[in-house]
Amino acid sequence: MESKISKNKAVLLPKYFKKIGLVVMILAFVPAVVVRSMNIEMAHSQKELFRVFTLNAFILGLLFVAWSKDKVEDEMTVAIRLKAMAMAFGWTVLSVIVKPIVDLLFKEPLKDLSGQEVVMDMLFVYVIVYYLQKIGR
Amino acid sequence: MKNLLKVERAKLNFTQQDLAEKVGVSRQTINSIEAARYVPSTVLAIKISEVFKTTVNEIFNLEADD
Repeated sequence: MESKISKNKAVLLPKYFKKIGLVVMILAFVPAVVVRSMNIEMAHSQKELFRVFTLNAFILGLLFVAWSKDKVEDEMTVAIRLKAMAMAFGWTVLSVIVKPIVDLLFKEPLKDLSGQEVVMDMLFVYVIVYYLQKIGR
Repeated sequence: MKNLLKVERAKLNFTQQDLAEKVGVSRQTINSIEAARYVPSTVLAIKISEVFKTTVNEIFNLEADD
């Protein structure tokens, strides 16, 4: 019976990845703060590359926080994760539809949402909903 | 679904933590089940009933709106 239960459990990273994720999220912004505070001049292409790497590192950290195990993983945490995932998915779909319309009304030119923005939105909503539900249980 | 988990626990003088450890879930999960905020899976319901040496139906009962 135990093996069947474990088959139903989500595949998650070990608990210590939460701390690693937080460190990665903080470290992702350190180079950006250093560049800004020291007024280091960079070419446009360099700036873009820098921005992409910073965001990617932040997303990776966020993923580690979202996808790591809790102290006790049981069927209720799985149910909470599922609910948080569903809400994050719904939110992201709505924001992809609504955001361009809001942009069109209030600021031009109309810009497509980047993959990074979508993924970050989804992970943020997931983490927030998950922890709110955990507090409220 | 209503349940008599709190009553059964009191009979054996178990804390929520004691029961949680016996069935392998968190204390918060037991608290949520007692408060009827969470309906346990069949496996967990059977595990709980085995701890109290009774049947699932003795602990968990359907309500009219279930």
